[in-house]
Amino acid sequence: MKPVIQQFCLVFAVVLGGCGGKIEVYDAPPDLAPPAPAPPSASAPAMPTPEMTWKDLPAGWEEVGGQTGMRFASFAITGDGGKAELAVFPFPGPPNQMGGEKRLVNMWRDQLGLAPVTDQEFEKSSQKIEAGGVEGTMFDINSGEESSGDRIVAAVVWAKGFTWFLKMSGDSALVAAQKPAFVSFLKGLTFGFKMPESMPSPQSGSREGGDRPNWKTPPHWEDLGAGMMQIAKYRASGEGGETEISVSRLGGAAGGIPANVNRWLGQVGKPSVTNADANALAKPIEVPAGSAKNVELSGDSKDMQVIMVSQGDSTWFFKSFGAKAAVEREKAAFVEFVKSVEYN
Amino acid sequence: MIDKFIKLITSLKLTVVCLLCSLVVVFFGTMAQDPLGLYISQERFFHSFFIDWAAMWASVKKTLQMFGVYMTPSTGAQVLQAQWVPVFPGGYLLGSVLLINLIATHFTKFKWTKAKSGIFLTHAGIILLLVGQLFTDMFAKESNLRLEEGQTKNYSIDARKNELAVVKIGENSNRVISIPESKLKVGKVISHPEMPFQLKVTEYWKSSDISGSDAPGYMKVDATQGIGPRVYVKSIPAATAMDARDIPAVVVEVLDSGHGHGTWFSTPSLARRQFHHDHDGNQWEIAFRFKRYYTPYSITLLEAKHDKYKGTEIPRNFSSVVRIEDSVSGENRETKIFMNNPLRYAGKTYYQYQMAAGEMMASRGLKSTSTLQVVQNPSWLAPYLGCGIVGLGLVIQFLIHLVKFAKKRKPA
Repeated sequence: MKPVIQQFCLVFAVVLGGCGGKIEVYDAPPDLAPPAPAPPSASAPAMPTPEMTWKDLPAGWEEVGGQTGMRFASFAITGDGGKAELAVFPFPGPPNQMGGEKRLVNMWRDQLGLAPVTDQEFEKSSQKIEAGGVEGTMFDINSGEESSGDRIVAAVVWAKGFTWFLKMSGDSALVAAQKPAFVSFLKGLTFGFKMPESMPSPQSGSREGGDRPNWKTPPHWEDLGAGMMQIAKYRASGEGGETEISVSRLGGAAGGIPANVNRWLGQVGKPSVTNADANALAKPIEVPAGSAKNVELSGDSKDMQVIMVSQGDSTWFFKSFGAKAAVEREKAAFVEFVKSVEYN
Repeated sequence: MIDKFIKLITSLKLTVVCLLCSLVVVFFGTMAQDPLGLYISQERFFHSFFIDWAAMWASVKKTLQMFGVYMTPSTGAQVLQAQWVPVFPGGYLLGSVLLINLIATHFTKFKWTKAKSGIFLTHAGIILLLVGQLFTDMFAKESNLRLEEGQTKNYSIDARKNELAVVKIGENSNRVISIPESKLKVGKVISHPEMPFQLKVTEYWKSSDISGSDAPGYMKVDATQGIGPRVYVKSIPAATAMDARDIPAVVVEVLDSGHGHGTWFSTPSLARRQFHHDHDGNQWEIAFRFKRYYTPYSITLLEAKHDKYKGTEIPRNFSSVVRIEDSVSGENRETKIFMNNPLRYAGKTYYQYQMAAGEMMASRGLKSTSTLQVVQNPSWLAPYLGCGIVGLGLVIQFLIHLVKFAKKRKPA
C-alpha cells in the first residue's frame, strides 16, 4: 500500500512543481502587417463629431497636444502648488450609457487608490454646476490631506448629444487652488457638434424619417425645421413658458414602451420604473390612423407628453417637452396636431 | 508511525473535515469577489494551499455587511501588500488531501464487491472531478484576440500573463525565447543556451503607468537607449477589476561578450517599440509584451456589428464575422461568432467578448474592433464525465439497494 501512496504523492508534487516559471522556446511565424486605414465608406453611417470652444484660458493654463485618440483637448496647468492637467473627453450618448456617475466616481477614486464610494460620500463629493449654458455635475475627489497627494476635480456635462468629461487631476494643492478657475472655465464653454460634409444638413430631413406628411399646426407654433433624428420641430411660446414639440419616426416598435418610457422618465429627472408600471403609464388614445399610446410625465421643473402612433412597420413619436404650464397649455392643440397627420 | 499516518489519511473524519472546510472556502472565496475581484479571490482562496489573513478578513468584512455590520472594505491593493499570514487551508490543500484520502481509503479499506459497485463508480467520478479541476488550473489557457476590421492575426494574448520576448528574426519564421515575468527580478542576469547574449534586469515595476512628461508622481526612467530616456514611469496599485490588468514595465541591460550594450525600457503598453540587438549578423528583437499564443492558422475580422434596439441605446446583439485560414488543414471559411455561438477550432473556443463598433467609433473615424475570448482547456470534458459517473454510481447503488429491499419484502 505504502509505495502506491508514495508514488502518488511524488507524481502530484512533480505535476504541481512543473507549472509556470519556465523559459519557453518555439518557432513563430512573422507578425502579419496591420491593416491599412480604411478609406471612407459610403455605406458607413455619417455621424456628427463633437465640438467644444472656450473663452480665454485661466492664468497658468496652456493647451497641449490637441486632439488625440479619444481625447478632445488637453491643458497643462502649472502653479505654485506643483503640476496638474485637464483632459477633455466627449462620448456620444447620455451619461447613463457610461454606467452612471457613481461608477465614474469610483473609477476616479480607484485611480487615486481610494476605496469605492458609499452613497453618502457620493452625494457629498458631487455638486451641480453650469457648463456652457447647461447643467452638469462636478466631483471633487481627494486622495488624502488637502496639501499633499493627488486630487481629481471632474465635471460631467451632457450637451448636444455628447457626454463631456472634463477631468482636472494632479497635485492636490494646485488642483484645489485652480478649482474656481475650472468652474469659471466651464461656464465659458460652448458645446456643439459638426456634421460630416457627406451628411445632409438637419433641415433637409431626418436619417430615418423621410419627408414630412401633411399635418395641421396651430398658428402660434414656430417651425424650427428638422433636428437630428427628427422630422420636424416646433416651439410653442406663451404664458407660463414654452414647450418644444418634435416629431420622429423609428422602425418597428423602436425598443418597446418600457425602454422608451424609462428613457423619458430620465429626461424629466425621475427614476426608472418596472416594465409593468411603464406599460401602465402608456394609455390608449384615439387617432384616425389607428392605435396610439399617450404618455404624460411630470418632472420637477419640466413636463412631457408623448404620443406614439404605430403606422405600418414603424412607430411615430410626437413629443411635447417643456415648462410644466406650457405643456399643459398646449395639450389640446398637441393632440389635435397628432390627429391631423396624414401618413404617406 | 507509518500505520498511524495511513490511519489518519484514510479516516472518514478527515473526509468530513475537508468537505466542511471546502464549504467554508467556497463561501468566503465567493464573498471576497466583491471587494477583491475575481482573480485575486481565485488566487488567494482556491489556487493556494493556505488562505492568508488579509484576504480572509476582506471576505469576513463583506460577510458582516449582510448582517448590518459595516466596516471599510479592504481593497485588492491592500490585500496584495499585506504580510502573508496563513489562517485557513486553501483550495489546493483541501483538494489534494481529499484526493489522497479517497484514493488511499480505496486501497486500504474498500474491497471490490458487486454490491458496492455504485459506491466505487461514485468515488471514481469524484476523483475525476478533482483531478480534472487540477488539470484545468494547470493547463487551461485563457487569452484574448483583438482585431480591427480587416486585420488578420495568428496569435492571441494571455488575459493575465506577460513575457519578455527575445525574438531571433528569420526569413520565414522567427525563433522566440519567451521569458516569463516571474523571472524578472532586479539584479538578475537572464541567460539561455539559444540566446547568444544575456539580459540583466536593472529596474522592474509590477504595475505601472507611463507618461511623456514629469507629471506628479512619475519618475524618470534610468535607460540610455531607445525610447527610455524620454519616458517617465509611476508605480500604481495592482488592478483588481475583472476587465483590467496590470501593465508592468522593465529596464534591461544587454550584456554581450561581457560588455554592456546600453539599458532599454520596455512595457507591454509600448510593445510595438521593441528594441533591437544584432549579434553575429543575426537580428534580435526584444520586447516586454502580453504573453502570446501562436496558432498555425490565422483569423481575419471581416465585420464587427453592434446592434441596438431601434430608438434606444439598449444593445441587442454583438457579432463578429471572421474568416479562418489554415494552411495545414486547408480550412478556409467564413463564420459568424455571437453570444452563445462561439467558434470551436483546433481545440480552442472563440467567444464574442468585447466590441467597439458603431456610432462611437464612426464618429471618431476609427475602425470597429472586436475582441474574442479564446479558451483552451484540454480537460474540459472531465467535469461532464465526472458528474455523469457520479450520477450513474448513485443510480446503480440505489437500484442495488432497491432490488435487495424488494426481495426481502417478498412473502415466503
